[in-house]
Amino acid sequence: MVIHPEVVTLSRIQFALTAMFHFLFVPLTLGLSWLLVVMESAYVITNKVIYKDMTQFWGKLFGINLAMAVITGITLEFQFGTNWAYYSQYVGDVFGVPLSIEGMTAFMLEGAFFGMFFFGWNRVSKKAHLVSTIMLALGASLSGLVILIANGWMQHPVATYFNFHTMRMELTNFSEVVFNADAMVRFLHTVAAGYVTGAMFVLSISAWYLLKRRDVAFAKRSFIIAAIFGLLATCSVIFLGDENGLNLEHVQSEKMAAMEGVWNTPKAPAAWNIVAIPDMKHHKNAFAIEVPYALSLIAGHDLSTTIPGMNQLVEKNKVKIRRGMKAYAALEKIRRGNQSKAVLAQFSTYSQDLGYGLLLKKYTANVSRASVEQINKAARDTIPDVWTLFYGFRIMVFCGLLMLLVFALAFFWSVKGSAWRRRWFLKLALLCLPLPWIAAEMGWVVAEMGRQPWTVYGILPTFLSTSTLTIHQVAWSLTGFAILFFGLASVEVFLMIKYARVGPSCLHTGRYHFEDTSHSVEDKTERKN
Amino acid sequence: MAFETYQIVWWLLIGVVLFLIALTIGFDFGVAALMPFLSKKDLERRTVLNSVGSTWAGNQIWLVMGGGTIYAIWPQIYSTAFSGFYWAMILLLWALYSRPIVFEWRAKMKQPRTKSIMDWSIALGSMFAAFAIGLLIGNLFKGVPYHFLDGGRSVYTGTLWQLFNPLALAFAFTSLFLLLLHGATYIRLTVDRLVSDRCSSTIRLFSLLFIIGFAGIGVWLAHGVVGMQLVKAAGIHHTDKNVVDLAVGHWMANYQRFAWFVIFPAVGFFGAVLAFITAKGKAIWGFVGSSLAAFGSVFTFGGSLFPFLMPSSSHPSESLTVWDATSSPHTLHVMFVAAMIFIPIILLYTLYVYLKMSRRLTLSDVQTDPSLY
Repeated sequence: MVIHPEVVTLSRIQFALTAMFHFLFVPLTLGLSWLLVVMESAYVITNKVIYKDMTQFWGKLFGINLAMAVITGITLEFQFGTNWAYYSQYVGDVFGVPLSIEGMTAFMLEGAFFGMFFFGWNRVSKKAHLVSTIMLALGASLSGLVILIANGWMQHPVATYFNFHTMRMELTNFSEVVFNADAMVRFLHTVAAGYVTGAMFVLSISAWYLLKRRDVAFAKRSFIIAAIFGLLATCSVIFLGDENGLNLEHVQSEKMAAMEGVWNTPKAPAAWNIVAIPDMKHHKNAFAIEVPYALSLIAGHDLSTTIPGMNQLVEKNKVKIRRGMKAYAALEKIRRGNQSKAVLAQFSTYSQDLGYGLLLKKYTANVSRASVEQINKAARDTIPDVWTLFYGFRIMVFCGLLMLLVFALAFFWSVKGSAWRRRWFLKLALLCLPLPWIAAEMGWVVAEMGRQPWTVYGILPTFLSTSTLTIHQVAWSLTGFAILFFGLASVEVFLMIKYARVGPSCLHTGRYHFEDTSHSVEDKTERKN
Repeated sequence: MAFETYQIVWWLLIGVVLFLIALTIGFDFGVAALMPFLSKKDLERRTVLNSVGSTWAGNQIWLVMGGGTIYAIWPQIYSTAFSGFYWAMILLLWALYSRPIVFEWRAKMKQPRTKSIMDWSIALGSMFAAFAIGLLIGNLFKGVPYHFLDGGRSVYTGTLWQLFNPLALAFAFTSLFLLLLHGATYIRLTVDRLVSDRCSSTIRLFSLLFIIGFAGIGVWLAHGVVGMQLVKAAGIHHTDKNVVDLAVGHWMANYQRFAWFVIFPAVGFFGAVLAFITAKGKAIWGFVGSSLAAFGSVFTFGGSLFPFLMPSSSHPSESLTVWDATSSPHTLHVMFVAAMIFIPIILLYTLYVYLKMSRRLTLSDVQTDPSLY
């Protein structure tokens, strides 16, 4: 069976496009949903109608997003079958479980209470409505949890073994998959990033209203809630990202080394490359600016930690590939009917490196007799693209730190009550609007590109994971998706801007800027309370 | 429980989920499909659309959950069907996009022309989805040309065009009739009588067409289609092969082997007849009728194929069945525990939301409530 490398590449582009498009909407729904809970709780407790208006207005923008998040999520689910059939058949026994449970727990909750949130304002009691908002937020975060359990398993496959009877990976213990430490940290990091996105969204748009001096009471309250929520969330993201890094060194050394541009294992205390020009051909950095001691501090929080370099990891993986070849040879014998003790023993000794043997399939059909040249090539493949990882990671971190600064200042000055006077700061807050999206997309790029050449780390190479399709099929479907997403994104952005511009006036309550010519909006709002 | 018991239990549970998909998605797709035909006036169209406004998002999750569950329980079915039916699946997916887009965007558009385009796209998208699902089910009875390479990689050797064979088209149209019937009974139950009274003739028409299609397919399967019977079943070991007997009428054999299976088509017919005779009577009976028709259809489809899930026409011995397409015993067990915990909870809160939010939507409701679609 010849797998066209183009089919693999196009399938990857199609999935990446869908996933990145999906993740334009997801983080906002994750974060905005809890902000809605905060706003509506304020309404239920204080009975001030302005909080109800806030919930409804930000809820409107939330709704446009949630619908897109769900349908693009369905698209990803479809693509596991349409484009990644061998992946699904090879690991479906494990991967399918969280995917299905996500539907049962998170999506159902979101879906069921979606209608009540938007249309239940006059039909159910205040408290029942608040419950529906909480359920919506809970559902969104739960779906983050379960999908990161699934993704966490792809990054760090635990509780699974290769069953040669069925020729696939099978689950041994589901709770180990759920409580996979890697998945937990990554879940919290991702969900907190969603909270940051929600907060930045509200903060920026509120800052814009303040700059325009309209709906000021509404905007101030939104601004403060977003500042507090955003500060807490950004601190969590950074803390959890750091935890993630501590974990990563043990779990995926190749990703860590590529992210930091470390070609040769440095002696502790190791220096950190703040900027580098990786030279992929000669396996070194052509140029680098180093910060002494910093890498040890980042990777281990001490001065004695070092991380393995890419060149050393390639050597280590050559050994694994040779072991994988032995596993593959034994497997071939087993499948031809030879299940003697010696063969089974050979298989069980080497089976955990079977995946490394499969890396050779890219270069030869005869895996068990691969040449040294082919082994070297396959070992070289185990290093992900250094440029993408090195700079993807740095862009993410830079955005994160900048947002921390903005939220901290927003919090400090809005508590002091002086934020509203600092127009330069409100402008800065507005300009920061795209940052959480850039950071989140870069985070996923680092996570997924950093796992290459694997779909399931150490187990199934990406190259083998696709469906049996022709180049034409994937090329045309990719074209279709590209056009579809471009169209949707255009209308989506147009609508978001339109509603953000109109502001709370779009609720038609008669209390806001565009509905009132006297400009005594503030008084009116306060009086009606 | 023994492995075989789990395999049967999951066949049943997935049947139930497929029924819930047909039941819930069925009416909101049906409502969208009928909307532009029932009225030209914007307010009336909005009223029809909003009758599913608060439930469509939850309903489509049954589709997501059904997909996820088939993935976990029958990973080989999921991968083989989705990759084999590549273009059909991609087009089905694109058709699904019409729904959230129109629900969320329609009310935000000003131009009547844009609204009209949106109305037709959601109607055609919804109809296409029901048509495509019926078409694929029909092709399962026809047999799908696929086989497995060494190691379990599936290869589909057919084309997109051969999916449009006469048998599959009969399934596709019957599925479409059922959708329109179910949508019409739902509209009669939940929309202002000024509009929904127009649905009586729709119900008559599509219950009749559904009965003709359903019966016609039965006769066709009994006398004109080569069916399969499993003589010896392969297990989940990938080297095992099925022994399959091919003959015209085999798709009807289950109704002799398990006589009580006759209940399934009987319920299907009964439901459609009930909807037909109550087309001018109490609306609730029409809805009960079309729901029973959906139940009967889903289980007649599954029951006739059983134990086959996806027969291979080119390599019958490699056909995927209940016995060889499932996940490992442990995964079936984990999934069973999860389903027993979560599905009752889901049904409880879904029912709660339905009860809280259900009412007959009048034109004036829609006129006065700016939060509606």
